[in-house]
Amino acid sequence: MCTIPGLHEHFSWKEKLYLNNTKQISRFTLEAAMLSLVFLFTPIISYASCKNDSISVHCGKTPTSVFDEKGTLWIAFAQQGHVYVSHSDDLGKHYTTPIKVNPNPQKIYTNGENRPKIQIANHHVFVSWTEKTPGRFTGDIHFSRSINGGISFEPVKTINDDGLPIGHRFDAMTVTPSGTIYIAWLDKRDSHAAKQRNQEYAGISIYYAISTDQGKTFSNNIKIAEHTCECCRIAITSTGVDNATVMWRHIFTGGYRDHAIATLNQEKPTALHRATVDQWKTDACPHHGPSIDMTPHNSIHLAWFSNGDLHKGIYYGNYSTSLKSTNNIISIDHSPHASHSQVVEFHNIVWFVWKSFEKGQSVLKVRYSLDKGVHWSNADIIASTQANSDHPLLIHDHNNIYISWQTTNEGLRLIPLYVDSENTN
Amino acid sequence: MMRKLLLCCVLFSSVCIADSLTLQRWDTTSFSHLKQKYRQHAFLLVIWSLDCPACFKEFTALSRWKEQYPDSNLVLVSTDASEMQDDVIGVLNEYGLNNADVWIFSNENKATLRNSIDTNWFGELPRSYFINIQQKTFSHSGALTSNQLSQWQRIISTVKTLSQ
Repeated sequence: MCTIPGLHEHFSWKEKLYLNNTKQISRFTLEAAMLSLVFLFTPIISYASCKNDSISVHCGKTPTSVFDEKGTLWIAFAQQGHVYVSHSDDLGKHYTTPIKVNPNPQKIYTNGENRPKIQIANHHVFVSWTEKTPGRFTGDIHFSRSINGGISFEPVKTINDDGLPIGHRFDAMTVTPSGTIYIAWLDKRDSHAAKQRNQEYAGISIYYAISTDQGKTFSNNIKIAEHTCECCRIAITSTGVDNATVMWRHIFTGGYRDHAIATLNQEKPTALHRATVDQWKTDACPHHGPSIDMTPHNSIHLAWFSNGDLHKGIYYGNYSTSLKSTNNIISIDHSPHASHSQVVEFHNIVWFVWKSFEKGQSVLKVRYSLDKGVHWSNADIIASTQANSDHPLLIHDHNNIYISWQTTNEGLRLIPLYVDSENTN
Repeated sequence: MMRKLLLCCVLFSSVCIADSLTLQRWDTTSFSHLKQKYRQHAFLLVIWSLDCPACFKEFTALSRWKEQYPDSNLVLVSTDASEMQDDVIGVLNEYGLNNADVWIFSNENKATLRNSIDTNWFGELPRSYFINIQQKTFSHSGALTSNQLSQWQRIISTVKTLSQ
């Protein structure tokens, strides 16, 4: 279905696995460059005009994409006060009529770092988002599920359980292989309490809740850590059969806004560990959260941004879950335009995507590693736009990996990064 | 009667300003136009957004500074989407910063607009540029403190005195 004529003989994923030294990576770089050129000239999926306010994945805000087990593409997005879910059986050529998740309109956070989330497990569709409530930097974390294949959604639940009209924002959701749903978010309850006591308090906190009955009910809120940065997305990934790992921008002693990481289980989190040492001492809002992906080798791929004394720009690192430290730190792009990176390992290739700005255009760039993040290809531009654009998201089904990217001029694009011709019809 | 009317005008003058406050659209030419407008004058350019807690911390200091030195040249540029204009105006009124030179990003590509201000800026907010009388620019990321603003004011005042 996705094979690009004339290239499949160059891009068998099995062949790539044998290309594991620098010289061979260079050859692969050349091939990837060819592939990029092909994608640049591949006609994009037609983009419906948004002038009539039609509800669609192209016109809505911050569409988040994910594949289910069968390869169906699911999208959650926000538009006109509602979160909608739509799906596509033909890789985004056609989408189903969007289904409203929250029946009553809400102000929904859609600034890129804050966006509706969607996960599919056991034929259920799980959606979380943050509602903007009255007040400044305030919000509630909501969840709803569909147990009939996305035909309708159950009544909306509020996950934060403190009942306070304060900040609960930047939700992040993952589902473990055992089916446990983890939702983590940034929470102001501890800073609010400190303020009530007239005490100084750096940043806010990070909390989570879990569901072990496929989203029917959720646990009480559990604190992960205090003193987090207030305005960056949280990265979350499932770990092992039943746990999850979160990475976030933390405020370490001295006001350093570097990253922390912790593993969550059904009862409590592990102690936090420092994932990055960038020495970024600032009292600014980066609006620039990290990305993580679990590897099969007891380590976690990290992607992050810093403007610290030690590191400036977009970085890759490999966090060892046994040593509790990050190794193999690679500067992916040090230019000030590099932003909103994501890292995913797929079929033994580590993919790294981010946004940049070149020659008056926003561009998507990709680098990849064939040896678990030790060596990296050169950067390739694989898409561009003249107008505003959302953050890029790396998603994959069983056989292929794509970037999901919505841009004002082109709508939602699904850009293939890798075509496994042997496993594609 | 006349005195009462005058008192009402003084009391409600800020409300009058609030109601009539309009934001100028920041495009790729705005920074060079600003430099032209403030030629021979020092000015402080602050870039901020509604979703930036550190910006509000800075606004408290800016508000105090602007109240103390109403003639100082302050330019505030919001990076929010134009549909958030009313919220932006609300914040400016709340902090008494409606007498500054106020702007909001146009609908052009945000990356283009950012690049037109500073090619070395990573996008963190608040971002401030102190532009002196010779149009030399000093940039700063993070919330400005009252102390930093006082230092800036001293520099402006000293230069003014020397040039008189």
